[in-house]
Amino acid sequence: MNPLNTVTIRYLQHNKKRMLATILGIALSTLLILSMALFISSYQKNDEQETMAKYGTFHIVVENDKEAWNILKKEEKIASIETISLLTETWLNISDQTYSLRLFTMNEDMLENIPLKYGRLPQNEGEIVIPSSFTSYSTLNLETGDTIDLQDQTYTVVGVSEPQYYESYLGENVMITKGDNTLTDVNYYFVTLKSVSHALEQLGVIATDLGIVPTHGWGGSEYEGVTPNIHLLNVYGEGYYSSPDDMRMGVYLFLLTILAVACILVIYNAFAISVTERKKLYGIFASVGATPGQIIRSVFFEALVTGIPGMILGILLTILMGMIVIKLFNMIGAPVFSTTFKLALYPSYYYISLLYIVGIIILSAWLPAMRAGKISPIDAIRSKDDVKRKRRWFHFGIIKRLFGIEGDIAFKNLRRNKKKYRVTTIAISLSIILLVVGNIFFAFIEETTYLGMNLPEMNVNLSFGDSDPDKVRAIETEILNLSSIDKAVIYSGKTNYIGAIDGDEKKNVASFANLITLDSKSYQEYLDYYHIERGRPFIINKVVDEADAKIEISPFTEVPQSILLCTRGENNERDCYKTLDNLEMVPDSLGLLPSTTALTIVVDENTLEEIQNLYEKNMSVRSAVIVAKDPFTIEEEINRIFRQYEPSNAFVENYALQIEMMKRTILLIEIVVYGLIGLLTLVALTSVFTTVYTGILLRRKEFAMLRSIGLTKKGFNKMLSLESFFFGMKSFLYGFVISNFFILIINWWIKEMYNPFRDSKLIHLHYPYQTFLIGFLGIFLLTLVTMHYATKQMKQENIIDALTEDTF
Amino acid sequence: MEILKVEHLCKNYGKGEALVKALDDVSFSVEDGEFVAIVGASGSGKSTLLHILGGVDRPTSGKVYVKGKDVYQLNERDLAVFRRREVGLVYQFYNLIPILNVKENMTLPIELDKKKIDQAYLQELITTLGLENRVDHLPNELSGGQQQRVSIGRALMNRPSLLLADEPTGNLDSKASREIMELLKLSNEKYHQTIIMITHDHELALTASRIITIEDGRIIDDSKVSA
Repeated sequence: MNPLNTVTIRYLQHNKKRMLATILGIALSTLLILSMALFISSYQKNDEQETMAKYGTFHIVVENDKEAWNILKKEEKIASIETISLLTETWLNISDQTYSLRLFTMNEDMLENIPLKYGRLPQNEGEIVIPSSFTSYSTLNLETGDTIDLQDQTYTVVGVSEPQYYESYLGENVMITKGDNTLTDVNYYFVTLKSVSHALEQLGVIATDLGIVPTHGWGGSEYEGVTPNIHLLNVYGEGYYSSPDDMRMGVYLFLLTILAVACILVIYNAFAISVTERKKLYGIFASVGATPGQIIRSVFFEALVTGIPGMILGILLTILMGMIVIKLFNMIGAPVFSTTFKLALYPSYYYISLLYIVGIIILSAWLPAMRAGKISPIDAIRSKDDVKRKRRWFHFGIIKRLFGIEGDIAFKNLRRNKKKYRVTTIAISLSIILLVVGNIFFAFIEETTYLGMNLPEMNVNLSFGDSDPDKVRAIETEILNLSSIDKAVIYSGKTNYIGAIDGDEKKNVASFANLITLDSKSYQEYLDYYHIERGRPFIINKVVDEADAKIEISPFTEVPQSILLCTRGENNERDCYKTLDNLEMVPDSLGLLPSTTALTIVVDENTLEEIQNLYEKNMSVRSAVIVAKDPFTIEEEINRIFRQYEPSNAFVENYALQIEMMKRTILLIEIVVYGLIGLLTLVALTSVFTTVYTGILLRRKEFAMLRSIGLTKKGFNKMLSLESFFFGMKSFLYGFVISNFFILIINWWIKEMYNPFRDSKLIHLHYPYQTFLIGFLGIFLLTLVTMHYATKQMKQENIIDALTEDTF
Repeated sequence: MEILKVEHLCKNYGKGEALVKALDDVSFSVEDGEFVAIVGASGSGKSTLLHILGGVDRPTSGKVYVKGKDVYQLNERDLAVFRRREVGLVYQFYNLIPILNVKENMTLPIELDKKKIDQAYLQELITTLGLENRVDHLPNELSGGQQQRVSIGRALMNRPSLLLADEPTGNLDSKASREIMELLKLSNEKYHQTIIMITHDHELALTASRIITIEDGRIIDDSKVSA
């Protein structure tokens, strides 16, 4: 081997810890960049799967006669074809409306894969599966076991299917029966292509082969009866317009570039330090006749020797991390998401990432290599010290007074090694900036979604109504009797404009007043708690501030005498119809009612009925909020009650599910974002290690000298701790200043771009004190631990050895 | 035969008031097989002169010809090759590669030149230098005198036109110094090796066949040593 390479290898073996730090740095960079690719790639894969589940796995649908089969069969670009054939079409007249019912048959594989809501798949002739839209509220009102006559044949419903992708191609009211696989005059061929590349052009070719003449539509040529599965093609970037795939690649390349810069800095630092450390060695080499080219190649050789294991380790770590993250994702996602996350890495992302990493390593080694090539033998031989005296405008005498001579030395060391520490300072600052920006990003998400709002403790919200008041009362009783409910408040109400309070419009504290009645149990709860006379209307003195949805205010300081209630007529004229008086007031809703911006007034049933009868004579409506430990069971049970009584309108909303989905989605994003920030911090940490460790090795003689002239172990530790503190402080300050700049920009952006669409006071982000504190302590501790680790050996070694030996 | 020719060599450091003339119009030539000692006080410019002769430092003006070739007309790469093939340098502080053993340090210039190692010559050098039992040792396992012998071995390995020694005994005790001087004398006689040695010790300089005395960057005396 070339003697320079031999020396490089031995040097690396001699400095195992530093070599490992470099390899780890490269591995972590590889991990960082590959995991980004993995994440975006997997996102696309999951998007693809979700789209396939929703819109089918095929690429093109051809609606044609049975002859088309022979042409399609011969097409080389087609991988597979599934067919659905129209058996009969019938028109049904139900209450003055005509319904088209279409009965289809499909091939075995497709039939077996129809997901059922309930019932079973057709196994014999004369059995059909109907879509769920035919059941319950539909006018057809079919259920399993029912029969239907279609063109002289009676069919029995055996199952009800979930909404299916093919329905949009086959038309409404699609029923499926088991057929004998024969084609009919109207067939739908669901074509899967061998390759999706240029799918729309392939579609054109297939259509032309079928003898279809193109017409020109918005997206280019269109062929009648030949439709692309555009949702799926969009996923692959093969749609008509700009593709999400391109955008995703763009975002990926952008993020990649930012990360690449950080990685280059860190890996560059490792090589730069390595070269600085061997400056004298290169000088000797040069003096015995090594050419600059030979020296440059030896630095690249080092890049190769550390780069290959680093990249391999990085790839292995990516696989490991991917497996863990996907497990974690599915664990978190399983209860609320219907899909399972899968890992995927598309070749294009994979190769680009690897190319980036190789580029990063080459770029990182470039400058140090060139510098090594230029090392003059004479400088190296003379061992010129790099300490230069500069004119100072500022004197730091206070450091010495505050921290003693140890602090003074620590501070001077830091100033002397400014250049060496620069990259590490940048890397650490970057970690802080990303941490703070990430933090604000999530705070922003929380603020702008309803996670940030004050939701009452209720987790199921529902309403129902019918013209039959007995039916409504029956449902109400059933719901209140559900054993799995912790607390339920059922109320019915009427929203009114507030005309005037105490006869004075200026006293109007809110625009609206909700007049409600409560179920008897909840009503009694109020009466008992606040000692209110039964029958007297009472105001709940709590409304949500119109300007800031997060604040609840008490609008009244004393009980008003009267409230005038109005409505708007057909021509928007005000019609005031009722004055409420003899009012009581309670300070709180007892957590029984959701807070709104409208004033809530609880009245007795007679009062409400009196008002309601003025307008909505034939409808009885109830709303309810429910608190339950298991909202999912409650939701199902309420749906069961609704199915049993069939009220004319019904609605259940499970807040718990929505909140849970939102929470978990954010948690997943947080895992990814903080994971990436964490990785970047780790990369920065390897840089801290390399810099500190080598810096201290290079100062070995100096430390020995300090000890030889009487610096105690305690003093030595103090010096190191202070140097860590100053260094941490400096990196932190840079990060702090730039982060604040970002905070300002983000706040400005929110104010300018976001708030005009909402209320101006709605979004205000809190200053991330905690993040800064964590960042500061983290940096200080990491540097301190690294410094002490690096000097551990040194503290025990013989002073004379250190003073006399060469350090390599 | 004239192997080295130096013409009007100047080397300045600094500018303006701080200008230091380390070498001020130095000219001389050396015949093949000569053993020249350059003497002078500390700061007289003798080390600067040696470094310029060795191709590791560039002159401000003037020419250096080795075997008739103008050394400072060469580009960086060719200058490195020149150092590798034509010059052997011996420093006061040995400058060995600490992670290479004795043999590897000695063969370094050959390996850099991608040439085949002349094993017989290597063995002969090792024996001559008295390093037979030390070939696999690392520099820090050797005494100062032994390290300097390795560095002489490295300098001679390529059979250079010039062996330049910068205070080769400056870091050694008197016994080791004597040994090193004997080795230099031996190589001069046995291999007809041209040697230019820097020293501030007039007694050691008497080992050479010619003494050039430098003061304030100028040659003030150039005389043969009578045998």
